[in-house]
Amino acid sequence: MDFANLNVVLNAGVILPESIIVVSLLIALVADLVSVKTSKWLPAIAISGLLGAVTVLIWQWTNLTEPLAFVESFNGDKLSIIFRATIALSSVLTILISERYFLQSGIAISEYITILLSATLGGMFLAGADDLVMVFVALETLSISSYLLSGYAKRDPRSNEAALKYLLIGASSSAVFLYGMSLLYGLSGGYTNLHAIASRLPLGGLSLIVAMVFVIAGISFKLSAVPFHQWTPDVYEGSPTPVVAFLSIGSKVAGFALAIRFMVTVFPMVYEQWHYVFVVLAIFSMILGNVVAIAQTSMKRMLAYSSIGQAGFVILGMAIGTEAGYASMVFYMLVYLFMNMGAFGCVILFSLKTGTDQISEYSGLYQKDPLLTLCLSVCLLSLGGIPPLAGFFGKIYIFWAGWQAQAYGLVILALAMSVVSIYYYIRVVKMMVVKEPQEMSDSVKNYPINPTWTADGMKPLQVAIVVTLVFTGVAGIASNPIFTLANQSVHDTPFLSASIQNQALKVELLKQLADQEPVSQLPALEPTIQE
Amino acid sequence: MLSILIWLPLIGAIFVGFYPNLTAARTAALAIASATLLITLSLFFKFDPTTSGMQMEEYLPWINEIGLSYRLGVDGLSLPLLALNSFLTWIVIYGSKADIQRSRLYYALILVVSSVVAGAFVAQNLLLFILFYELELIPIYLMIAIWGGEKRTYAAMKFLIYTAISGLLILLGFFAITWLSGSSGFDYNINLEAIASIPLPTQVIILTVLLIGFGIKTPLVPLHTWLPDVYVEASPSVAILLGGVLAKLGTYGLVRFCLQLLPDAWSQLSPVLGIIATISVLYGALTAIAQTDIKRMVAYSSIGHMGYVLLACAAGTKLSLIGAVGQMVSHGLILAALFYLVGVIETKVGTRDLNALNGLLNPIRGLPLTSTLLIIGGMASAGIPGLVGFIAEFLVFQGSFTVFPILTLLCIIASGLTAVYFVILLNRTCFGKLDNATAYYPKVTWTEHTPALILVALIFFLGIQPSWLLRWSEPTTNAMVASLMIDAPSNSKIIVLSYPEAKVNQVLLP
Amino acid sequence: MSLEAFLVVAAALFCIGIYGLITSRNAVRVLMSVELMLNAVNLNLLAFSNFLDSGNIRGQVFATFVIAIAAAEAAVGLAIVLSIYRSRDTVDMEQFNLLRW
Repeated sequence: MDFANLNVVLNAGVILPESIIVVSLLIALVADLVSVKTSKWLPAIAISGLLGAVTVLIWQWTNLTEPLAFVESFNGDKLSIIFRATIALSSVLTILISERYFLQSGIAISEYITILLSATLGGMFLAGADDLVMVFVALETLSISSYLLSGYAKRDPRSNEAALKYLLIGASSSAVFLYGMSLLYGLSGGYTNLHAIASRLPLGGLSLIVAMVFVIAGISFKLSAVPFHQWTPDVYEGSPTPVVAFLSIGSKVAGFALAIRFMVTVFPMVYEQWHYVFVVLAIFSMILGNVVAIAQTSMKRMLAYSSIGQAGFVILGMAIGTEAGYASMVFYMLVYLFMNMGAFGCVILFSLKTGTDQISEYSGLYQKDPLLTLCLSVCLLSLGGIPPLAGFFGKIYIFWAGWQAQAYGLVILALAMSVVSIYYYIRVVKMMVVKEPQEMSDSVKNYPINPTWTADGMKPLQVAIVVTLVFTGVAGIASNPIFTLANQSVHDTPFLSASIQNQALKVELLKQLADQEPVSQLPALEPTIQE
Repeated sequence: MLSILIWLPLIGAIFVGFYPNLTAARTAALAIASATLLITLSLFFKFDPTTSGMQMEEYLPWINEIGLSYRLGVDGLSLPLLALNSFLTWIVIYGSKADIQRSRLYYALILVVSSVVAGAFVAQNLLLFILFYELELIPIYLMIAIWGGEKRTYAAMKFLIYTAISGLLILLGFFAITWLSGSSGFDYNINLEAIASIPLPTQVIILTVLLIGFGIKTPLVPLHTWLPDVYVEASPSVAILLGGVLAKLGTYGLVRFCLQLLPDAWSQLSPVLGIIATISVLYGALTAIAQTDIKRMVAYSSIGHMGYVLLACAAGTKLSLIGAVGQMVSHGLILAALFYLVGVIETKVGTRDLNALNGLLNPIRGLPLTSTLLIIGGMASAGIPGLVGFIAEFLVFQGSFTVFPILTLLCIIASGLTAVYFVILLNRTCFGKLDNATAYYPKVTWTEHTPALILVALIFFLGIQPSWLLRWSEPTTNAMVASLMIDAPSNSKIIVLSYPEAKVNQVLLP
Repeated sequence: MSLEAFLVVAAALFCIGIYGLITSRNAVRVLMSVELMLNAVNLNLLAFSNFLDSGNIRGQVFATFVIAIAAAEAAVGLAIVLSIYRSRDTVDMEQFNLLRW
């Protein structure tokens, strides 16, 4: 097989974005080895690689004719493109907000960049993985890099502890996921491609349900959906803040991409069941995440719980299962990327100046740093869904999609929980804006001018904060293109639109059946295994 | 044209809030508010008071996926309220001090609120309304929490939670209406027949949800518990905005989205609504009597006056609906005047306690002009003829009597009680002997008098010339009545007359 | 030997792994339990591959990947345990209580 033929079979052009990132990763690695001087260019190299990848993804959006690559184990359809772009962008923003953070804590940034890039790679491959092996390898690339990232501040015992907890829980959850995958491999009679598995799975039966439960457990861990969320607050609190930003966005987006692709492709036979499980996950996540966030005193921990709650809203979009539901999910992820990253950027800036992340220490910040106050307020209010910020439109889209799918109870619950979330976000805003000068906290009283915006590594942070602020503020009002993008990504993705149509047909058929005679149980077949 | 009302204050707010080294925040805000007010007044010349439909419509497609569009329009219901909003914003800005702490934020927030409320009044898309409705949440929250009284944080949080819940319920109601009527977007020109084809019990449920939502905002008993705390803790100018303008969002919503969108269910529920209204009125009046804090007293009086609006809407006759619109505006003016004067008294005398206040009418050492104005405000609120409060209340009672004779009678009694507590208030504060030893109050300057003088002048003027207030709304409210089916014995004397001025005169001079 | 026998052994191994995961206080033992679970999966994959897919042996390829990644995971895990041992002088899970809500 000559090279040209090989390329036709592999269709390697689909993973061009990832290749660019791999190249930039290697360049960064070598540049770090060459000399100390070049190491300060590492962030720039990484960012240009990531932005290059995003550019290629944008190009692929319209120009990719054959999305399947590597013998159908990687799928570059529009859904994966939009998720991969989101992950890459979250990585760009993470690098921007981390530079000063690591400089100030006296930790070398070079390995951080390479590990972060490999985590990004893992996430991006995960978003398009169409094969069990591919899913597993990509997932582990993401996870192992994340463990390393969360333990990156290795002299900080809290960071160590966070990393250990994350690793142990993460590894066991991926073992569970893997067990589910091995069952799928067996049930399908020896196939690893997701579509091939789906067409060969039995129609029902205990073993299929067991496999489904294991798979969902593994995925929910990545989404930190309740009840698989216990690691989240601890890891978020202990890890370096930029890493938390990446975990709460990049890693989660990858998790959602996996969830959609895996569940929709592999389990159409037990659609009602997995659907039901996701509804429960959404309910638990929304309630627990939002309610427990109220009680938090540490900003990072509050954001951790709020991210659980936010994940609940997104899972809601997925549980709806209509075209609008998936599109609202994509839309929300895009918006969430910017508003959450902005919030983390501001938290980092505050902790760089004062060295604390206690919510009470924010009181009176308005007097000393109006810009930071404005940015953090906008991002938090957007997370809370206050118009006209981006988060409002994201939430409305999810709720309206849910209402159209007649999930009335869920929508009402989600609305109630978004009111709860307004409460705890506004608490921080209140601390910053409302408090009188005499109620100022000690850290704010001694609020240092340093580091100024001109200090080393502060420019990127400023860029990141301004970009996220502008996006959060404007994306809501000018959100038409994003809506179109989200809709197209769902509409033009074959496996999703097929599933949506199938479900619609099924509902129609069931209705007709119900008109004629009582619905008979679908035959539950046990897997037929030959020796 | 209508967009200017939204965007001018908003851009002004951004300017006031962010323009570097701006010292004259009040002047800038005042200029913007004046411009807005002038534009609002110019609307009256363009407005055609003979038709009932939406006028000066503007339309821009926005987000089709969620049925949101930028559709604005004004009719006889929203026009007076728009004017009220622009006017009270101007009053509030004029009446605030230039050296108030954090002045730039303060004036910027007032302008934002003005812009947002104008947006809510002209929004012709349900989601757009929600957007504006929720948008007002944070500025008002901050205004209460920063410039309020002692328990301001508590009050602000209470306001926030109540309003957020009301927004949630309204959103749910809108979802339900739009979804069940089968329309693809949230535009207000929903097919009314499609809504009418929704089963009546479902309609009633939707209406209840909406009623609770708007009832929290209005507020109606028993959803009023946030009001006393919030009105009392808020600074006088914020209280004017809250009671004068924002409460109107609630009543406006009741008419626009409950009565107009769900006329069948409204007719069904109207007896219940009448009872709730009467309870509100009686409750407001009776609790106001028991207060010793004059600000709290005014706050409770507001509950009662909002009850009249609901009574009028529940009755749903041509006359009562006109009365409702009139009552919204007159309540806005009167409440603004009262809150403003209470604020003046509080700053000059240093207390709001009825037991401590005394003899303010004393021409030399007291606050003679302020107390005079307060007396007029109190009279207007109690519905003394010749003032705008009387016109509105009279129309409400006259219009509702045919439908709810007993309830209306109860409300009339309550309006008598209003006179009782205002007599108590005025008697204690204005009359009596001033304490020689302690009472040397600082003089009230003319600048401080001006807002109250203007308000009182308007109260007088509209009381004598009510058609200036009512002629705009007549066709709109008539069209609303046509869609209602509340069976009332026809009152030929009123209905025959079509031109409002003649009608009002006929009613007033039997 | 039937396929079921292999599956039962794998399931038992998996359960032992979970048991160890829950009960162990020593971080290294927890890591070992995770390895046990991964090996249970490997056994599953190999059995399926042998009985159902002896032509393409996808399961065996999969198992190779799992082994490689399990090694990476163990390496990272041990590195983290090592660094935590340096700072805390213990690998007892119950001593790790800096992060609490």
